[in-house]
Amino acid sequence: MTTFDRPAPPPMVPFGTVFRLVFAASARELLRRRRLVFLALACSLPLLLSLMWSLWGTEHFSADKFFTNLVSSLYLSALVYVVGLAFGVPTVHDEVEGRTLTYLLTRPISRIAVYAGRLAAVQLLAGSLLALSLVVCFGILVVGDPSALSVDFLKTYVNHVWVLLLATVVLTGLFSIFGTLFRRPLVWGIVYAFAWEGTVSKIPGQLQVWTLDFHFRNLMLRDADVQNDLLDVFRQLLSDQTDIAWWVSLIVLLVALVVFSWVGGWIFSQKEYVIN
Amino acid sequence: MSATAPAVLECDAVTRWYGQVIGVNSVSCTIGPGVTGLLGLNGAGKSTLFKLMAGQLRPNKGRVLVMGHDLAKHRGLYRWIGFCPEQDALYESMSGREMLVYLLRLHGFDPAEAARRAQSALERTHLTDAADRPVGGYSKGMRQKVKLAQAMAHDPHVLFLDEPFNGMDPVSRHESMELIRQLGAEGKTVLVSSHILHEVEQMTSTILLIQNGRILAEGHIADIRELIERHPHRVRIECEAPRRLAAELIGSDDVQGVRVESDRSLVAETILPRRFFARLPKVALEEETRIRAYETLDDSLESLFEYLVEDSN
Repeated sequence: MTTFDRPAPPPMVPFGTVFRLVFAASARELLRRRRLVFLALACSLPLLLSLMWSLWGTEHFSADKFFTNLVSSLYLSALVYVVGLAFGVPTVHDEVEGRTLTYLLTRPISRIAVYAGRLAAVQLLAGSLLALSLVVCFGILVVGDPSALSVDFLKTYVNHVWVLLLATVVLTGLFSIFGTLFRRPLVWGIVYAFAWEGTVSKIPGQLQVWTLDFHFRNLMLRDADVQNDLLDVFRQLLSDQTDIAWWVSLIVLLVALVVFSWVGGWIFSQKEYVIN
Repeated sequence: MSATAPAVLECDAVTRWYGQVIGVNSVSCTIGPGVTGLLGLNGAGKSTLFKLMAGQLRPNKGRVLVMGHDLAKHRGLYRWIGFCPEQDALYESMSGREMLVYLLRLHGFDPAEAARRAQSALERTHLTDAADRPVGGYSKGMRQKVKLAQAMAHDPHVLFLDEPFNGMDPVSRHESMELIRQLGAEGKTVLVSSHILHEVEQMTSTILLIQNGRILAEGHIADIRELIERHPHRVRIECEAPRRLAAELIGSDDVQGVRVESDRSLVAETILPRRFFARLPKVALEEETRIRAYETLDDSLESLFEYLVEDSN
């Protein structure tokens, strides 16, 4: 064979350009998905409960207490996981299942940039959906009980909203790894969310520190009247509370967010996808 | 490929395993400019080799070089590569134009240049009328054209086209084959796989045959034909009395076998074709049977492929 007078290999397309293009395309694509309707319905469940409260419950619970319980027992126990699973798992898995990943993998682009662009899009949309639900919820509560509009309530509301949004992006990042790594990511995601997080976080002792749920709740303004369920009551009774400063939990969650994003991107950049 | 042609694409002892099963076994080959057909039976390792060459799979051993560079180490090489996958998968909610512009922009083209190139690719694949409709509503043939358009829109040096004619109607098939021929004539290196052999034959005479994960043969059809001289040439003869003619032909040492296909035709197998064709008119005259037509079956790619596979087995 004759030696080919080879030109130097061309450079890849810059990271920022790829990130921006993939982010925009992914966001547009996600907005057209049917699962958005299902998720919007799921996120409207607390709104329904808020409406019921505003009609019949204002005499029994204050807006502050109702909202805190709503966040603890519905948003943080279920909705952040549902939204995280629904947006996080398909980050890469949609392209694999749809077999369109080939088009991205045969371009002169960094795989990490593709992953980062898609992850940013799903995190933005997941966060926006939950934020919208929380804003409407706030509106219903304030209209239902105008006297609730106090500094304390606003403080609680702002605290709960940012914790929930942080929880959403952290969980979306985690479930993106599941979608990148596993063949059946949804099954593994459900097992993780409801078997590990849902159960271990309620076991008294040090083990709960290894759940994300513990750190999410540790960032929330404490309210002695808030109990998720009977298990939570027992946990308090056992008085074996793990006391960790809120800022430690914040650091843990921020580190988790960075690590999840990096690990997901690294796996995606290394993994070989056999698409038939 | 001739010995002096530049190796745009080179496989160097490429091996790929799937667990205990070997997909491609120490394949070495070089491919130069022009159209090359990649042919193989189902399970022969054709798709695996195709994906290895296009960087979709990593070899367990060996390496694939594109213009002398390892594709696994230089993703920038995809600027020079166009890939048309076999799977019927597109971004369903995008229009054909949107999809092309999006993928072109991922090659680093600015919006205006991406739009211009998308339009050009749409025109070359005869898709302009449907360009602004969502691809989810396209026919199978149109979907194939979008796949072809996205592979060639950035003007790559090397094109991998995996079963590009699946689901196309005859007119689209003809147009696409003509387009691929043009791309080859423009000096691009086009590797095309197809299970419809006569289609490959219409586009190129340079082929790569793969069986059981190994390259069975590569090069020009005529060169390969020389390699298999021991195989008999098959000749179909249409005549008035095939049984009588068959009886006379079988008696000669230049004929290995004769099969009567119908009361109007027979197929003779000869290892000495020149002597056979010289003798055939005389025999027909002696037997007083009129020969209406005859054709050699051995020049077709399909028969060549069958011979080589039989030989390999």
